[in-house]
Amino acid sequence: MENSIFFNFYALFIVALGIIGLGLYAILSYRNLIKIFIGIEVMSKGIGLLFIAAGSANGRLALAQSYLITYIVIEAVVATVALSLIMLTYRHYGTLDIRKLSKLKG
Amino acid sequence: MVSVDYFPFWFFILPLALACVLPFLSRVSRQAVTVLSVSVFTLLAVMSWYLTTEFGRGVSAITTLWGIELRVDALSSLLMLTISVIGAIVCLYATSYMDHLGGKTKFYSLFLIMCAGMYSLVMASDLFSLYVCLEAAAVASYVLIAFSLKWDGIEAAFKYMILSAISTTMIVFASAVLFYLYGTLSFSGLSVALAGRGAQPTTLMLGGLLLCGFAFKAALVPFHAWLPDAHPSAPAPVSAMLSGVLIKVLGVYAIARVLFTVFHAPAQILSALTVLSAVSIVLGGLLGLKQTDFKRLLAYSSVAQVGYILGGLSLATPLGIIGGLFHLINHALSKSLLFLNAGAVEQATGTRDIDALGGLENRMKVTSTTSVVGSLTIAGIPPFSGFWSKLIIIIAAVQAENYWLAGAAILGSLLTLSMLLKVQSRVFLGKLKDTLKEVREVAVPMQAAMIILAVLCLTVGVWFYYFINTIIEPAAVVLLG
Repeated sequence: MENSIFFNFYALFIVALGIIGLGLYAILSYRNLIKIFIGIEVMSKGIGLLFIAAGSANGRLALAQSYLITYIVIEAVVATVALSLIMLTYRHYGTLDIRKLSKLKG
Repeated sequence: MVSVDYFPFWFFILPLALACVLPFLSRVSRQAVTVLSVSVFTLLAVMSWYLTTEFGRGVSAITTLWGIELRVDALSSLLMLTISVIGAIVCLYATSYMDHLGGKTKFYSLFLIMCAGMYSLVMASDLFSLYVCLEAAAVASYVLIAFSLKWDGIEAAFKYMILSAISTTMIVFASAVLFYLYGTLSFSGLSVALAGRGAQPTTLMLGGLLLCGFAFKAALVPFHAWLPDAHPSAPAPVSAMLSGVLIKVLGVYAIARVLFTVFHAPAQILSALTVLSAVSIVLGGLLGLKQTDFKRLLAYSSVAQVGYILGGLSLATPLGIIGGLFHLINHALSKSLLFLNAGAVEQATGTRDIDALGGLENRMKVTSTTSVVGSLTIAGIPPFSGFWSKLIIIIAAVQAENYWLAGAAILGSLLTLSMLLKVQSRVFLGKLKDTLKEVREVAVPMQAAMIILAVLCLTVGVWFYYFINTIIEPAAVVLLG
């Protein structure tokens, strides 16, 4: 698809970058494990958008969609492991504050 | 189906199938679990040795089955051989090590899934499947790190996961942009599209992003923060596999493949890699020196050794690449051995703190002897294999007039030696502490695993010329194009 008023790769690229930036900001600035995890999820949404935008811009949308679906599956697997780790952390430390997770250092 | 052409498919079908069957099998017989895992890895080791010698004669293959495309050449089969050999030995070791930790079947299943991910990573023929396999291996490794369900494992696994998520975002972001620009992600397609564009700012930026992403996995210095937490917190067989193989497959192999095959080794990125490697060698050694935790010290030494491997590769000269790849094999053997030693000491005495240990030499003969072999290999003392690879890297650095890297390599060698002498003197030599009077040598399978690795270290060191000729050189030729 050519760039048009309805579809512009560069605009979508900027939006995707913005979303990734927001996710990164959440990871770096929040102290709560769940919020950090949400940051990771937000970041991966930005990547998904970028894949679809790239696919429709260069006319290989089917390939891009298959990439995206695989990406979503992986993301779900990571989310499962991440949430179970967060749960275990809460069980051991009794808190979700990342600053308390500092027993390992040196 | 059992033709040689379909050999590569067995490498991920067998481990995955076994991983699915094991939970059911363990109800019938507990012994069968171990026997099957070890024999699958041994079979794969034999198959990959066959593939290695086959590709040594200049054969390389792309096989397609059910729409899955696998690309195998000498470099992939070299890595496949490493995974299989270390995998078999670690499985043997885990038979008795996991007895006291519990959950043996789950451990073997996860371990096989992680190895299947690594096998398919080295056979991936495009950037996206490389990412998928990387994530498969990485997710299994998060669970394996937290396997003991103690606080340190969980904390380390969570930190590793967060940093990993950021690094994979870099990788996938760069892939998506490459996909937009060139409409393909296959290595061959991208390699054609990027030919002659090596110096363009876009290419350099994307190559740099991919380098940063994979350098996270390889634990090069600015990105190494997760490794000294993650590797010591895992059970010993897992740390051996992580430090010995995982960081090399996910990090070093991916960097080599992407930079050399896809990006045609752009000079700017390579010199950045050289600087990072030199810093890794020195900083890893310095930070390791002050550690008192046995496994944490070894983890810092891994950071330094990855610096050697990537430093050799980043020179992009034939000698440098041969040295880097040879050091990859040597480090895989010796660091796995040392982590298995550390696990044996931890199991026998209940501590990893080297200040609380001492005089184990007579109590644990096999462990102490094999750990001397491992230490000498890593530190680079002839006739052990580490000496030759370090020597080749240093000569290559001098030939390339890269005196900083050569200096860092020599300094790093001294730091590694002093680090491991510290371990030897505090753990195995000296006076036996009163608290350690009851210590006994570990079970036979664990001893056997350590002895096999020590013998391998010595064999590769003595017949280094044969190994370089048969398995390393063909792989280096792949990278040089």
